[in-house]
Amino acid sequence: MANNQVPLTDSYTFALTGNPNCGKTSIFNEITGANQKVGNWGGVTVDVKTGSIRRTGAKLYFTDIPGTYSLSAYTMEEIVARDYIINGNTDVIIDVLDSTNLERNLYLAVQLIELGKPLVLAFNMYDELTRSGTRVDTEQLSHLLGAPICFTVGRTGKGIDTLLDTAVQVAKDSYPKKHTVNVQYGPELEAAIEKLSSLLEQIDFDRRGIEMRWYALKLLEGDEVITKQVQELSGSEAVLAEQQVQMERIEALYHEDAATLISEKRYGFILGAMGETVKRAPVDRIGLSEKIDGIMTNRFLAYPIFAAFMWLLFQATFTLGAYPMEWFESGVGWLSETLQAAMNPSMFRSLLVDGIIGGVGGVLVFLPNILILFFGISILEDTGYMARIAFIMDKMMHRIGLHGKSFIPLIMGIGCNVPAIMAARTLESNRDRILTILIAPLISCSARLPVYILFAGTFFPRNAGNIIFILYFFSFFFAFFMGFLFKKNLFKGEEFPFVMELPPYRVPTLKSALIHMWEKGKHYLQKMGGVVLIFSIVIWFLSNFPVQTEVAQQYDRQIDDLETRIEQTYSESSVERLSYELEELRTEKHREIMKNTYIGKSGRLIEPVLRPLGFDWRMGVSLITGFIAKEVVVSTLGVLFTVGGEADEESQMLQNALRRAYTPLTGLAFLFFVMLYTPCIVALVTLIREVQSWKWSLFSLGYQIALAWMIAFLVRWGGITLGFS
Amino acid sequence: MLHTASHQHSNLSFFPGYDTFHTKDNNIMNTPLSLCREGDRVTIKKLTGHGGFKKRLLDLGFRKGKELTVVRYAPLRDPMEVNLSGSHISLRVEEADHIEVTPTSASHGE
Repeated sequence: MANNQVPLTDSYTFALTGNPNCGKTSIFNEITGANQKVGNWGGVTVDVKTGSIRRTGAKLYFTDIPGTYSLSAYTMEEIVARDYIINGNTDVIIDVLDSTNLERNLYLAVQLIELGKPLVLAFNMYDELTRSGTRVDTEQLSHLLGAPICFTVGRTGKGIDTLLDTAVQVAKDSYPKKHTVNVQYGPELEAAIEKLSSLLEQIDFDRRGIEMRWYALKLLEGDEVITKQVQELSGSEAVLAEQQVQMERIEALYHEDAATLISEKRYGFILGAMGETVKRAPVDRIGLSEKIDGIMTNRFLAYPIFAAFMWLLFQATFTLGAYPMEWFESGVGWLSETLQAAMNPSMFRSLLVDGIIGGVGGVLVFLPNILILFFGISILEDTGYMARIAFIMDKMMHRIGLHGKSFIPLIMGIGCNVPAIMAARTLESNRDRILTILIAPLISCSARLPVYILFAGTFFPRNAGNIIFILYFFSFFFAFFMGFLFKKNLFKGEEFPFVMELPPYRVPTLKSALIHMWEKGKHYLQKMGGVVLIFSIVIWFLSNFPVQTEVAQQYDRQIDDLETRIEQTYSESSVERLSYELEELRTEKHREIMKNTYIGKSGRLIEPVLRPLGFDWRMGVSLITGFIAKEVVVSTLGVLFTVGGEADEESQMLQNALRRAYTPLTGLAFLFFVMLYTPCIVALVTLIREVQSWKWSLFSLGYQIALAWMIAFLVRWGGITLGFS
Repeated sequence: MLHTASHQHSNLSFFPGYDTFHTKDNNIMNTPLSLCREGDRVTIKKLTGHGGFKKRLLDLGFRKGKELTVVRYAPLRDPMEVNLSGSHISLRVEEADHIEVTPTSASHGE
């Protein structure tokens, strides 16, 4: 070792691994408390948590890597998990096992044993095992597996001290040395392993402290990642040729591929070891969990129950979340007003109030929604109900090429697309996740509603409700339809299997839900806040520059004149007429200023593109400012159309002005455009962060705008052809 | 909805060489898991299907000789849920086509 720096205290690193649902995360939470950091691993959106504690003079670092069933690395999470186990610099691997399902949990343990890295086995949920009457001869099993075994109960913290002591001992190399255990694969497979190992020995490569035998096994299994890794080494031709020879030889001999045979032998080894050491009580777990499932997935009750839970989640997220959202809004409002009053009118004040504070406020308002939604999602996951949602929804979602779990992000999109896009993380397969993220923005969010209310109320006052319903219907229709198209054309090829575990129902812990919620909130603020702020400042700049001092001064002079004239007039009717003129003048001032800013210019610039849809430059400007948030479309139209420049979706004045400017058909086309194009900057930034690919981000932006244009075009020209105007 | 599954299966049994390899030690006809009914107790005889999918099954504990019980079908008859020595696994009916089983009562054993 070329370590010339001696650490002051000992420090050790541990990786926590184990099957999904083995209680690994509750052990991790128990060890590290809230002292955790979440990071993404190697550019993929798989969370890897780290935490550290100080214990008897040593610093212990823990990494909670994603749950995995084996080292065959299949899902994105499993690939990350294996990559970490193989390449991460850990002193000891702690494998957490669900004691109530030892056979399958030992399958991963055996593969870890084969790696040859220092290992401690934590038999978790041990209380459930003893309660069922099963006895384990630990000493003997530990001897057969060649690794120390500790018993833990993650939710109460029982046994964790011993686990830590043992892990530190193993790390210090002071634990009684265990012999190396090898699964025996029978003469034919052993011959193949032997052959491949000896060929591998001849190439110079970094084994990362892993047994050569393990690499040979992986090659025999036909593991793609390891094969590729070997391919890149110089002088590997002989190994790869031998790999082919041996795989074919084994298959010809047994009419079965080597991977299956190896797996069967591993299970054989596990059953042998368990047969000697585990005295199982003949109880089948037809417990509470199955009874609950009898109701939750019942043919008649499943959907009503699911709908009720969704309603609850939705209400909590968006109705309950509306209160803190209002506080944020009024807080931000108060701050802007105070600053507005305290500072002299200047460019800097405008930047601070409209750009920065407005931008920060725009980010903050979504925070309550995100916190509540992820608190709810965490409870759905921890109780085990999330897997049941996938179970009952998969048939429908699979029709359109999605996974059962995609349903939750889509339904949450009705409230807000930002948490919806984030919720797609519950999907294990990267393809399903990206597909869900691509279509989620099409779901009509609550910020689009003000635009719907304004336009439907203006142009279809008698059928406003129906029009809004049709818009929501079409938003889901387009989401599903595009999902179907993308699946057919962009995500062809081998489909990701649905096969998944339905974990037993468990009582969720508040601690883990709170930790999860906190992580998501922090992630949202850290990753998106900054970018959104920059975007807000850019938009502010575009809507305030170039400065129109002359135009403004010109109007101000006229306004002043009018004001003095009003003061000097005594006839009541003249005052009324002049006041009206004054308001008109003020609107004109706003309009003229806006028209010549960069945003106004770009509105006019894109007018030719929008003209086939019947939109003019004012609609163009409102669509551009709509990128900030969809409801801004309404206030922009207010500025451009109405007296005083202030208006909401129910303003009569704005409605009258719009009715004069556009036909109902143009209004309808505009509604479809607003429904389909990019939701807002925050959603876009979230999407970019979540898909982690510029290709998909640009694709998402592009297809939404193109779709919005096409559909608006179809609506308008379809309407004209049918004789509407 | 089950029509698709049984249709696929009838195609499978016409597949040449479909059960030539494993008829030497038993004469009981293997059926795909997808045709089993709720409550059926069966033993796995063979896993077919492509590499990744098969590995996934093996990782989750599906192996030759393993017993399992069909717990239920989802309300829309797809996917299905099986009990594999205490752990409950759900899989789509089309995926269950790739697991050949025989009724447990007839042949016992590991």
